[in-house]
Amino acid sequence: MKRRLFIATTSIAAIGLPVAYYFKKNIGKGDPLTTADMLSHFCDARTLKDIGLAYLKLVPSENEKQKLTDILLLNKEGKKLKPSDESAIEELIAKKIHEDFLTQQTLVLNQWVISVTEARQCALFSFIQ
Amino acid sequence: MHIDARELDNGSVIEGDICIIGAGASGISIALDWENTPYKVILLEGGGFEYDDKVQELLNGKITGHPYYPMKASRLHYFGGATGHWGGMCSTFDDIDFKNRDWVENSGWPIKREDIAAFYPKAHEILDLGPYEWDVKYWKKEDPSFVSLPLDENVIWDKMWHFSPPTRFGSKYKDAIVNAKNIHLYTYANVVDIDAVENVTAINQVVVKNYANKQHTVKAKYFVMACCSIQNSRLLLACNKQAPKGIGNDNDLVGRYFMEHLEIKTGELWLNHKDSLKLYQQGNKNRVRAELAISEKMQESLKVLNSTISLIPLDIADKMQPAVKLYAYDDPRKSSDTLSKYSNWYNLSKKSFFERHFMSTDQNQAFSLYTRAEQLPNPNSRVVLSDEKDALGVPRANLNWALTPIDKKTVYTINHLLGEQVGVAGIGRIKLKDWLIDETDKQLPDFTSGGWHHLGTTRMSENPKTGVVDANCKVHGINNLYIAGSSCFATGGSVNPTLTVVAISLRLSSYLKERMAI
Repeated sequence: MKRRLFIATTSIAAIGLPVAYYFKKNIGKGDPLTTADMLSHFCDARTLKDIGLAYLKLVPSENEKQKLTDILLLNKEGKKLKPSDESAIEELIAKKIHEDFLTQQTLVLNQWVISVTEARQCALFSFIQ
Repeated sequence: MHIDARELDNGSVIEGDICIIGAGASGISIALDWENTPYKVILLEGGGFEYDDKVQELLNGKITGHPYYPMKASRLHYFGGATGHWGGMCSTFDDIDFKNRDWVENSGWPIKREDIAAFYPKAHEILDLGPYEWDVKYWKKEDPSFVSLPLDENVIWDKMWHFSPPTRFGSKYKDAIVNAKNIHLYTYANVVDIDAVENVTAINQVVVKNYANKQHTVKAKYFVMACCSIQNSRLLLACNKQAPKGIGNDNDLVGRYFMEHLEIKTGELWLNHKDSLKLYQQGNKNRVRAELAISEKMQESLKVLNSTISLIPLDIADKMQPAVKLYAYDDPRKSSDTLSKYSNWYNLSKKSFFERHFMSTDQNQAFSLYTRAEQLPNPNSRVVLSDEKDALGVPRANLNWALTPIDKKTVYTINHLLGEQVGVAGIGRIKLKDWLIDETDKQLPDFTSGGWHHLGTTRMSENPKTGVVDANCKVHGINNLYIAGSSCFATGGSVNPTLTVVAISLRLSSYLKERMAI
């Protein structure tokens, strides 16, 4: 009996722990507006939220969900993408992040060197968490 | 030829054409360069062929300012000098290191990189480095598994390093020195005084002493001081009976501008994939690796000093402790043991049986950023004489290692730039250490280590008001006194100095040969 219990316990631990760890570390691919894709490889939800809050503290004028959404959806030509067009938004955000790094539109928040767009994504993420 | 100065009759007079004071990397390289010439070379070494704690004690002194290694332990006082415990890392100085940079106070050498570069190949050979190739493209052809990070090389570039075995001059070159007919090596010959002619425009002789209560004099046409930055300046300052401020110190420059390389873990590189980043790792068969270096253009536009970053797998780096905390014993042997246990890359990268067989992978997602930066030449960073004297009657040297805000700005800037470049490349992100982003503190933290690189104190300049030696390493105003090695560096660059120390010493040697022939 004891042996069976031991096997059951260790099996659960062996499978369960890595799964739990995975979900803790990776918040997964979500809404492109609120998921800083690259950062989510390394940061858990708590850290992403903290980055977002740090950004809002730094830029209080953007401390509004709709305002952040509008800024993130605005493309170079000044046109606002539809919130439903996920793939176009994903592409736009990726471009914006690349452009931010190229033009030094970067910040150091919670020790991470990130783009302004990523900071805004995190800020938006903090509203829904 | 080898002579133990303790065995000579007291009051012996030793005569030669050239007298080299100090048998470390610099002194031995110069002496060997004169092998089989018609000139008699006197090579003076304060210690013997083995470590002797009583001799080592002569280097003791006090540290003030930024925490530093114990004075007694940061150099080795025997034949071969500090090569007895160096790590073997070598790289070359960049063009910019020699330039007068308007944003770097007291920068600029009176010589250019090409003046030194001519001597790099021979120095390379002396230090047992591999092929004289410094271009990353060459090494990528040699080993196709070397792959660069996709960064803009106008911002961050791959600077190559070579690893010496490391060459221990004390064992490797002992026979060559001892068997050379025209080289006369005197061990246990500590220089304690320098006698100049009446108006101090030339040196007549130096006085040597040892624990056997023997005192001798050495006469030569030319004298070369090659006993490292701290001891060179100590001796010049201490010899003040004819020149009240010390020899070569009319302008109060001797001992000033002591520099080091600032070494510290500054952050982490997190990749969005696993990678070995082999090009940037130690331990490959070619004994080379790259570090990420800030470009000349970025140094100029951001007004910072030179610096590089090495990438160490995070699991190894996490076990590493700051060298300045580990190398804390007066006995250099004890400090070296502690250091290699807790800071040496090779020891820390050794894997357990379990790791080797069940977790064996060279791939990592996270790397520690280990920054190595140039220090601003700062007149307040200096060697001064102590009131206390050593057992041979020479005032001890005290060191005040003083850093400035541009040192921290430099360290921050290369890391932040790398963060932006990694972002542009879309390969990951950089996480910086808390202390690095604290804008309220302009100084580097106390656990910033030096690389055991003593630089400056008799800096080079064409103007006696801004330097102790001229472009040929001759002490201003003294016709036959020269200084070799890193003591003469006007600025320190960002790379370990041994290769440049040997190259600049060979350059001096070549110049003296020409002078001797006149």
